[in-house]
Amino acid sequence: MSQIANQRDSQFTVDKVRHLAELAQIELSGDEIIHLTKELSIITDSINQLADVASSDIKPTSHPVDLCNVLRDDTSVKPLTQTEALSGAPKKQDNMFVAPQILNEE
Amino acid sequence: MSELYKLSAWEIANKLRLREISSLEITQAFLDRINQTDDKLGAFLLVDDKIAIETAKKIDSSRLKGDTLPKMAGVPIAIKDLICTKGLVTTAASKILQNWVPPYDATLVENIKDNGLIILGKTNLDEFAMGSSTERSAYKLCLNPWDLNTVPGGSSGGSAASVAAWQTPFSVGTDTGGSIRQPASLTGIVGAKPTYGGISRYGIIAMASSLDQAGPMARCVLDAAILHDILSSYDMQDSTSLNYDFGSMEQAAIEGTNQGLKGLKVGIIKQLTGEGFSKGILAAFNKVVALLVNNGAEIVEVDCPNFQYSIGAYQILMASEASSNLARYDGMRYGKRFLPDKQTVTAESMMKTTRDIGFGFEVKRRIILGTYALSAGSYEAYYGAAQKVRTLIKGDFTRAYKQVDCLISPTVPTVAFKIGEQLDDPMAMYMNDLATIPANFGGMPAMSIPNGLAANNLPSGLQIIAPQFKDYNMYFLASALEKLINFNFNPSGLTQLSKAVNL
Repeated sequence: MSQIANQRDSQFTVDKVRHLAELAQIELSGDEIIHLTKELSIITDSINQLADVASSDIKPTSHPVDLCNVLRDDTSVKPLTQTEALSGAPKKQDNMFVAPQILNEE
Repeated sequence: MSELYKLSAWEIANKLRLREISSLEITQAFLDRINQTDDKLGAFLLVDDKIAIETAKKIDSSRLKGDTLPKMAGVPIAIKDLICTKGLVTTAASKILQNWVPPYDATLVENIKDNGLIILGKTNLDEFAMGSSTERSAYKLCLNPWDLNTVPGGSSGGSAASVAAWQTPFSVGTDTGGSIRQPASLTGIVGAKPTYGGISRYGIIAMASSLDQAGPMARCVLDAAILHDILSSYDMQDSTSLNYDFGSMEQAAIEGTNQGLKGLKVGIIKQLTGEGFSKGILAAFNKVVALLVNNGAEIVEVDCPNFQYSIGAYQILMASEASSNLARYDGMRYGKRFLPDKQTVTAESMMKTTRDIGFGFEVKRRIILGTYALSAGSYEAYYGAAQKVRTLIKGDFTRAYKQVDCLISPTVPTVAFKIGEQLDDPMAMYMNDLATIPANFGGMPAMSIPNGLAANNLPSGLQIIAPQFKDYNMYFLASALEKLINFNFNPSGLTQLSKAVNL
């Protein structure tokens, strides 16, 4: 519980938002980071009460309807053709997606 | 008949069957109506006259040949631009999907096509369905036909405005925390969210997968019910699709009108009838309660103490699921790719630039919040806690349904608000969903029907929430109440709209 309490006290800082943007792979501008830092603090203040009611004996719900594993017959279905799958590609060559280089990151 | 576009979907279907009109005529009437009003209204992101007319002609010639056609064949429809349509640009109102053409149809779109409906176009929304006003569309603003200075609600604002402005008889929306019901309430129309799993999510661009559901929007309960039956199907492509016989919603609507309310036990949710709701909205709601009592229904007040935590829990669950779902927009396989202004462009720098330019601010805010809620150290305090609150809210429903058949509340705490009024206050915007979120948490079918005018002659909505799988009961009650409420559908903004267009 004390660990949770500590988490709740933690305020959003510019560095923290910058780190989250890095994790989410979004290049945010300085203005956006400042704006988000303020807004996220307000939003998380309003949700901190959740931890107060969510005691350890309550089971979490991840899905609204209780379903067991859903299996289907192991039969082949027609997938998208290669042309269809590539139809929205921003860049393609020889029936393949072209990505920018992945090595020599800065 | 000069105002064909005012007909309801079932009336159009009857006239088509009796060959009083052709599908081409009715389709052209709606296309003309869109053409005359949408520059100002902004309900559509795409209108495809050519495909609509071609399809209408096919239906007409097939009917002339004497082929057996599905009941609603030849009736026009509009689809929220969050739903994939093969060969028809689908953007989610985001720049990151500008000009993207899906190579497949969503299952619900297949159902629409199999039933011979005519797709007029794709309707405006908040980017990736994130918003309650359609002001977050990356392309254009959408106005409320009742008052052109107010928002139509959201995120299915375009689907709601187009129905309210007689641009289409009905439309498809999607609802994650109220995105069908809230705009339906703000524009004086009917909007329904089925039991979670009732309509396939395959081909709907995902926001929060455990909450998202598509559903019908129309000017009367019967039209919504008919469309509900068309959209709903068991689908192997969606592992959460339910293989369950829900019955015919059309039948439910007809029986509701015929049989009335006698013997029904209706619950009023204590937590959704007081604080936070405007006077006008509560007055309109109390009139419905009086109608229920006077017509033989039994009213029970039910206590749902955990509903007060729903907005907080929703922020976390929605943002967490959205941040995961939107990770797929990386500029690699489809959608836009934006390159950084650097000499060496790497995959990672391209991805970051693409997501910076491609996403609007609200989308970034939710991704960052979700990333935070799911990150090590925060997970238990936020995501885990929100999932537990979801259990508590489901428990409130279970207890309530031991006493009553259906629950009712106002759909939205207020009438439509002014454009720009809530844009800088995310918490005020999120409060729009106060009454609608619990049904998404519980997977319950829920709908909004118009129940009169509240402040400024703007419409108010009544929400009906039925137990899981009891969509039939929801439509039954909605239809019985619709008859008693007898709402005068007369959007005043439309006069303004016609004037503006004629100038």
